[in-house]
Amino acid sequence: MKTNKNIQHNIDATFDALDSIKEVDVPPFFKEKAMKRLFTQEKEEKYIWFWFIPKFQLATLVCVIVLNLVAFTQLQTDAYNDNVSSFGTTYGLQSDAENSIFD
Amino acid sequence: MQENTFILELQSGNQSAYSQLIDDYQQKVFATCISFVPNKEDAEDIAQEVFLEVFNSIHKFKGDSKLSTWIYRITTNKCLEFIRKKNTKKRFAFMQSILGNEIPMDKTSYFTEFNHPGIVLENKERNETLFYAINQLPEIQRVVFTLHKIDGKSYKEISKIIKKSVSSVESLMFRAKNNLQKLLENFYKNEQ
Repeated sequence: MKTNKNIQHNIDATFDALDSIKEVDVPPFFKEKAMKRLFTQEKEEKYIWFWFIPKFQLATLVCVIVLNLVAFTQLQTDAYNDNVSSFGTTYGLQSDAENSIFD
Repeated sequence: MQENTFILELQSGNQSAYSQLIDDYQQKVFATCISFVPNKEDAEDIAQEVFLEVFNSIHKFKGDSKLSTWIYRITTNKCLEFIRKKNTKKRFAFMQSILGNEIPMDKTSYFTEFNHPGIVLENKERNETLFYAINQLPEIQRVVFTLHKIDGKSYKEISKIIKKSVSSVESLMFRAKNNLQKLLENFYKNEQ
């Protein structure tokens, strides 16, 4: 059985082992890999979005706003409810249109 | 070249400025990474990520601190981010701690495969044990202990990196050592 003294000796030796860690040199070609990553990334980003010029951005924004306005005004009218109601009646989906055979 | 001019060149995306930056900082950044993550391949990946982050965020750098401090702060954050992602058993350990159970240091739950070329074979076992114990510390204590005792940074440098006073760093270091002492005691008692 280990005594407390032995345990403390192990702990001290563990702390002392830190001093023996040597500096590790940076892996070979680290710089080349990093430079490649930095500057190909930049080119790729530029390449992906090069066509999306401010004119197109504005046109896209206008399209989205117009579509939303059209959809909003369509939903305001009662035509939608009428259509749903007539659809329900045609296919027998409305409860008031059904008659129970037990009545 | 003055630091302000150098930063302006980095902000303009000048390739030779980045070449200079990597020459100046690759060794220091890699050394910090391998201090937190004792695996050569993982440390290299994180160091690459650090330079990518510098490249993408240099326009946000206001010059409140030195460029080197800002880079070391990014390095520390990237390492912690990596450890957080890999520490899958951390939540379980937390549940154990609030239930009051003693958590034996489990080497299999360590977040990476131990592969530190700077550790000599005769001290490998002890250093591994210490790294596993450091991983059990609260994050801020882990940062201070790692930066000071493994990476060899001064209290003043650490205080600038973690944006705390030197006395706070000293106090965190004291608590980290105490906690490590308890963790190692527990480990060597269970080992017999």
